[in-house]
Amino acid sequence: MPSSELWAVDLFGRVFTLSTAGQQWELCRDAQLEFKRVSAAAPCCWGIACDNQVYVRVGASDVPIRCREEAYENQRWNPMGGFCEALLPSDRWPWSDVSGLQHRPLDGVALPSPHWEWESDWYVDENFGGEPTEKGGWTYAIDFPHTYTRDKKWNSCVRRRRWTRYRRYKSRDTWAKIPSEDDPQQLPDPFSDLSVGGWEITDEPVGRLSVWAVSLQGKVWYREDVSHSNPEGSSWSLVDTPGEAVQISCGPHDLLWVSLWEGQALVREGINRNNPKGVGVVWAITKDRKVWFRRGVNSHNPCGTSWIEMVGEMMMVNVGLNDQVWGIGWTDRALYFRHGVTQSELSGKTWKAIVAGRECDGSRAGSLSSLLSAGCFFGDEVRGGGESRVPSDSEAERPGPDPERDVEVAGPASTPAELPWTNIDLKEPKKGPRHAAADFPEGTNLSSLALLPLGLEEPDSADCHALWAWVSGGGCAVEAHTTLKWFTAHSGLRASMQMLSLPITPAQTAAWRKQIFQQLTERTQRELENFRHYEQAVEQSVWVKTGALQWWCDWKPHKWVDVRVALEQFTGHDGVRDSILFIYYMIHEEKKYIHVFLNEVTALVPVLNEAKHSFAVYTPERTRQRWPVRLAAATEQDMSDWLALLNLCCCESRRVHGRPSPQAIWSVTCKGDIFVSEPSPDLEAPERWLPCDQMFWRQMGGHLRVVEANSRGVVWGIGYDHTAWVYTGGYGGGCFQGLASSTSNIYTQSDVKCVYIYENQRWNPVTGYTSRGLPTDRYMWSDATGLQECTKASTKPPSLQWAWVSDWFVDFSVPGGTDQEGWQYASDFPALYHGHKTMKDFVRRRRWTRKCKLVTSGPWLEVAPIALGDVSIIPETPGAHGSGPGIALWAVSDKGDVLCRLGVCELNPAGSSWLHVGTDQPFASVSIGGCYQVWAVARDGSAFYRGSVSPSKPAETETGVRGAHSGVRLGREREPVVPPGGHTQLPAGHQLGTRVQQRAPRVRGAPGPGLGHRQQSPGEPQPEPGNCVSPHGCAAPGAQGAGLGLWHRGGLGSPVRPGQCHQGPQELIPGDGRQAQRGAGPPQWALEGGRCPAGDPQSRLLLRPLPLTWSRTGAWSLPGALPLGKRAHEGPLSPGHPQTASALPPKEKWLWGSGWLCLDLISSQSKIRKRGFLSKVKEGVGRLEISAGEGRLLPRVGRALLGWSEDGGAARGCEKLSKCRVRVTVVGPQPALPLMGLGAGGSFYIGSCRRGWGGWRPAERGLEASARSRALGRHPPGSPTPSGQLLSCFFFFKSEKGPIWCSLKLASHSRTRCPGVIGAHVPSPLILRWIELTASFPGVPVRRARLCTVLWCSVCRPEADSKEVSLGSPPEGHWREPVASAFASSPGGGTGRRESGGSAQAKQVKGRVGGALLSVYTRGCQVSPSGHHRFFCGSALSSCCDSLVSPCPLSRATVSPPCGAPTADLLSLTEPSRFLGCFIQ
Amino acid sequence: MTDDKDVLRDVWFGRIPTCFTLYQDEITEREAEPYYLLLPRVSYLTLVTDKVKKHFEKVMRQEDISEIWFEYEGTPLKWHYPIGLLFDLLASSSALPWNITVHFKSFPEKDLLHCPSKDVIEAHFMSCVKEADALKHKSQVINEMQKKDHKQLWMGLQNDRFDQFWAINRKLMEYPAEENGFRYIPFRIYQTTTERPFIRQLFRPVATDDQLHTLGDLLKEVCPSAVAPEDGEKKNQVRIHGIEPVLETPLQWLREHLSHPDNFLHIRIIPQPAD
Repeated sequence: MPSSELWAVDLFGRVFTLSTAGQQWELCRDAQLEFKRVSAAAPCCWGIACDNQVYVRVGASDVPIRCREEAYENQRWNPMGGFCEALLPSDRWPWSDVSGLQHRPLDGVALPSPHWEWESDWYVDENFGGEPTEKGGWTYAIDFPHTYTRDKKWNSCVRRRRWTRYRRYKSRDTWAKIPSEDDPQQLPDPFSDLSVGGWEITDEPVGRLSVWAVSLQGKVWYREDVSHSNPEGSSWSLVDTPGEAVQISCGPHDLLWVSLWEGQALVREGINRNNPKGVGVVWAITKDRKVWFRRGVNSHNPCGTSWIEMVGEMMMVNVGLNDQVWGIGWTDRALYFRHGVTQSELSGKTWKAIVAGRECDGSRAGSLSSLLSAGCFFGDEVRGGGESRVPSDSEAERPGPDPERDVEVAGPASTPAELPWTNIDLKEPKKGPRHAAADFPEGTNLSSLALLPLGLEEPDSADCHALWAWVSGGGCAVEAHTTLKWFTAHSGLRASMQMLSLPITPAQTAAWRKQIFQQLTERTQRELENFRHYEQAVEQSVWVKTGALQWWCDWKPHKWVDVRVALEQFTGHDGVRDSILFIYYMIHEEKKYIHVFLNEVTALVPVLNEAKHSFAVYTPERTRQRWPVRLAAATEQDMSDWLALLNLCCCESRRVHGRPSPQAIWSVTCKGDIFVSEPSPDLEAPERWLPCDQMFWRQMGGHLRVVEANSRGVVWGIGYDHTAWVYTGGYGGGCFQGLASSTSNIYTQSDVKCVYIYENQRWNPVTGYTSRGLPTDRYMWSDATGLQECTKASTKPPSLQWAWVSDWFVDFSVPGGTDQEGWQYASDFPALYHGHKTMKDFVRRRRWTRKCKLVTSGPWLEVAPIALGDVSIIPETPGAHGSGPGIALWAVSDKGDVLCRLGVCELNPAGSSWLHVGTDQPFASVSIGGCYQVWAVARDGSAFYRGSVSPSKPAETETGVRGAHSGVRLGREREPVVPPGGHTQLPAGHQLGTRVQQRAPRVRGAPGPGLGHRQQSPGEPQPEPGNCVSPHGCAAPGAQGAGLGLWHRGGLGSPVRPGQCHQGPQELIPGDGRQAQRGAGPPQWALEGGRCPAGDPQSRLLLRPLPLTWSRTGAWSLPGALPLGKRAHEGPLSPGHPQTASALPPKEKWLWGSGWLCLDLISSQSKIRKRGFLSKVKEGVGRLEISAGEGRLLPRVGRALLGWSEDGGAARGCEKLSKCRVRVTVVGPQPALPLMGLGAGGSFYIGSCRRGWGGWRPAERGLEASARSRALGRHPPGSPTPSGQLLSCFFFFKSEKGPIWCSLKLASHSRTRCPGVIGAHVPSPLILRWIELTASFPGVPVRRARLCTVLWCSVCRPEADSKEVSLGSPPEGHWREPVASAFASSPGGGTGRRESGGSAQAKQVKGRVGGALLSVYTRGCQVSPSGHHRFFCGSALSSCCDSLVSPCPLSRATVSPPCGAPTADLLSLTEPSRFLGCFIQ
Repeated sequence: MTDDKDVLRDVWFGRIPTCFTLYQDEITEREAEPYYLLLPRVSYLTLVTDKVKKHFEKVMRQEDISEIWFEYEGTPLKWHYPIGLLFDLLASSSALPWNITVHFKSFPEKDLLHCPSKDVIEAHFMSCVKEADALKHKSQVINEMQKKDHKQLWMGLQNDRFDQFWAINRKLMEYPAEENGFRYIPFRIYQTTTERPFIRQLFRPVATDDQLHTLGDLLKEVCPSAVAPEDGEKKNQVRIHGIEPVLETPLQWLREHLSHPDNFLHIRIIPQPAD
């Protein structure tokens, strides 16, 4: 729970705040101001001070309030002097605002109030629509006002440019006086009451507040233009009232009640758009101190229906967020909190006294004088009726049919207030603290307190507790279930102990716990170590849990059938527990069963839809079939029990328990579920080659839209409501209770999202627009597509977990704009909608929104207060273990501010505070890669790179220099990314996307089960709005399972299998399609390829999982889910743009991995150009991230490739290819190293790599010597020029001991270089299509292990043994084999080499490979007893060998174990059953 | 950071290697081989010694077989104490394996309870659980459980199924959030030096000043002799499950993690070995 604050004023006019997380009132120390009353909203607090001035206090936040002032400089072309300021008389001012109507000289723009300061000087904005303009920032047009373009044309007669300047609100965390009007007839009298509300009025901009005030003369005033960016508002405007008001109260929506001097209450109607809003809550106090609750208040009937008397006597009440109510007791002037206010019971249960201590309690200097000054205007109130606000002399005249006096309003509530209200007795004894009981005797209820003498100015208990005058809960978010610590007194020490630091509970760090744990381990060691051979006293028996569930039948007719299920747990001989789930069903009177081995289960996914409490069980096989086992339980409890039990069994059989390791891969599904996969702890374990569909995904509690992790266990997430969450280190939560959940670090989490439906109408000549459509029309109430009927009544929250928290309201923030009533017009369904009616429009629609909320629990804590749109954590901070600078974490707030989190470290993953990083425009996305490379995309599509970010200067805030803040920054600190390819301009409309990363489901760690948009549940085809689910993707009836086609590469370094799935079709083994498919990578991809448009073989989607690392952080992930046959559009979409989904081109896929970037761009359209997308490479282990353009622009927009090397050398490439497959690899660390790219058809591109930008230069087809030498960096001149196309290249860099070697493969030749064999020239029989480089870095011993595992080595015979091998059609060749030594010399370092001792001798590879086995993924080499090498292949040898072009018998052998292959003497399979390895003898 | 479930797991899977030998005076038809077994610390002797019984019965004459009982260095072993407790009390300083002598004759009526069948053990076990819950929750939790839950507890212990047992037992370990712990801590303190079998008192986990009681607090209150004086030499070892938790350990945590399956915290105080 984030902490928020309750504001209160005591009788002495001092303002205190009480945090929901704290237990002590804190004094707002400020300039001797004494306040009468305050009214708080979340971001600020307004108050009336004793000098009768209105003050506003804006809380200090990390995000500055900035406002941009703009002025336009206009010039007209003059035949004499060119463009000059001499304008025509009819023209606008030379300096004007954007419309030209207002004269606006630069020096005439003044700060609105003393609370603002200029941030910088005026500067010219050279950015136009997200693109850089010509020098000077001029935009040209034929005449004013007209369409302005960047380019000067022959008919450009006028031009203008924009000057901008920022001002910043400086009076934060202090009471800023609202300037009183100069106009004497304004504000003739001081204000007596003030209320802030309206922050939930839906059609208002973010941060908009309604501030209402009542003056002493009973007039009501409204403060104009109060919003986040203008906290002071602009001016007071008078609002007519039928009587003299005395008090006003404004709810968060449009509810506004005023009480009059005569005692009536008034309700104001028609505030803003008359949106139906939620139900409001009205509490009132009458003159006789009774508390009333108004029933039946809602937006249609803001007056409500009747009053209900509540128990207790109060001086005032205040309704805060979530309809929580605070009051000040009549007699004791103590603060009370209405306990038990929930959505269903808005009136709450009891009043609970808040007894939090005050920091100044000891020094209370309450004097009568200050008391009098506090009450100078309301003396009678303070004395007589408290805040009843009715002067005692007027009471007698009060007609009094309406008893209400003090009215507080709040909303919304999801349930109509038609509940049977009953008076709630306050008999419950106070659970007050001991010392509070002194003046509040136990067992006393409030009504009995009323018998005490009233109206004493100085109650005799003044020394014991504070006397309060006013309270405002408008900024205090108390959830119904929150437990507050306000109600018991604590010492300060205790309070500080309660502030637990995030992931570590005291119990876990305590020395005693460590000791116990250690002793237990020792005990086990002592008592068991030497006696393991003893017989166990208790034989492990089978344990069976049975139950009745429903099962979604696998075959027709698909329906739920009742089944008996039994879970059998047993212990195998090796002590490993395993379990089998049996599902018994009846078919044709015959009893049958299916079973699932729980050690094969890859994911257990709860599928919550309206009808069933069901869950899906995925196994690799089931994932392939897209048909998980779906089971449904009768009750939610039942389902959780089963889920928890199955989960436990799965974890046990996988030996996963406890919190996820820092290396864990995190993902979220499209439903917001969070899954974690644990890389195998054993670096060399074969499990590390798990394809994603075989990874075990374990669910975490909570609900997130984005999850981001780094390699040190720092995990952040963002909810659908933009709340930022940080992982606490627990596990379980949600539906996982009991043993499946950790005992601590589980907190309540909530999330809010919107459900949209559309109201459609058709124009009728007679009646106008009616809700009667043509027979062919869509439903009059439908979803966005129109295919599904969605009425207000029938639309339910997405699942049972969600509950409505608002009523339906018209959504005005629809893309395309709406009219006053929210309608959008079009000529017909479905067409382009626009926000105003034209002659040609015959249909219209409007969007209704309803918010729903989910409350769950999970290991997440909210990071208040700023809502985030995007977050990025540096993948790894080398050398910063334990100490050193914190972990860099950047984020973009939902307002577009770029933020840097300070103080993030392993022990405090939440960090301490936000550092605001100034920007010139709102940003959409940010990404930080290795070496503190920060990239961001602005909302208008421009990309920015931020230089000079370092661990010590996390955000590199330049201060002081004015110029640095302004336009210069555009050129220097944040360079807009120049479009690739040396272009300095881009065709108009090419916008960069709105995200830096296009992760489909916003997977950062790695893809999750049901990757991306895949629906988790079969038979649940509805994509969620805003969820980037392709509207077509739902066609597949079965859910696509966990992470199809993604390959997981274990924990730390993992092998790369370059080229493996990149074989072009022509390279596949002819006539053996199946095998080819298998070989070409995970079967899914092949399938994917199989669906490519006919006639365009190149457009086969070649996806390639290729991370160097699986870094938990970045690894790679697949932005687009791959619904079979529907590859598409999800990729580049960002959630929240469902409108553009269908406009996306269907054929982009990209991946990113760490260490290099791979983009496969295939388009059937011939015009593909690249445009910036960002990527980053972090020292070979980071990740790449890519952003693509806005959906509708994409058909014409290609991408540029960007990356940078470890030392910051950034490079970028672009390519103009009709059928483009681009792959770019970026290598560090030497800046001199080139980038290489390979175009379709083998053209080779070299990018120079320097700090900053590189450019792509096309190399000739068939690499020229010069190009190659550049590519190779240190290629000795004069070496033979290879002929043929450059098709593949491998770079391996020197590890500390290992050699540098690289291999460059050409179509017909290959160069292999390593230090020992420079210039060695080995013809290659391979035809490879990709260039790739992997990198390791000198002097980074940590990487060595990775280097080894990363190596994709070519196996060849040593030269000593070089004999030509006849290969048939591909050129003959031998391959230099530097790998053995590379492996040998790289120390065992974590690679778990099986025979590390032997590998050192492995200088030679003996034997021949029949000329065929040319490339093997090694993950280790081994020396057999006979001194021969073994090379262990990567995951599926079939893939490995299939990637060979040659008619290699080995490839057969590998796919048809046991080896009956003709080359059995050369090859045998070590683990034939798993195709895991082969060795060569 | 390891989770506390690891502690539960370690506690549960504690094993004592034991060597059973037949009492030399027992008459056998042929020589009885010793029998070696890993005994679960948290279980009961008669519950896990079926194999031992069978093994020795094979060499015995049928008419000599009566109720089996066990003895260690002259002390008859009470089957209704958890095995780990017996071991810690009697044999913790001796070398492993633990040598237990098996008797079939001359049942020590005054020292041992009869154990004719496993139902007796179950009854004993369940009564312990109920007694503990009476202290913890005024028996509310155990009474709300169904019969099958009770059965699952017992079967979990009998079959050495950690998950099965804890799936139910965790409910017994819960306490209301607004309180800091149980009403009273169910514990038993065993001393070898006194005649009294064990000490059992009402003891709250939380002190009046809201501070959590520690193990040291308990011992000072209940068994002051066990706690070494400030300056004095440590005379006694305080053992739970064969380990010596530091006295600062909060009692509530100990209770939740180091209890035996019968829900009691069995604390042994044994004299410090003079070495």
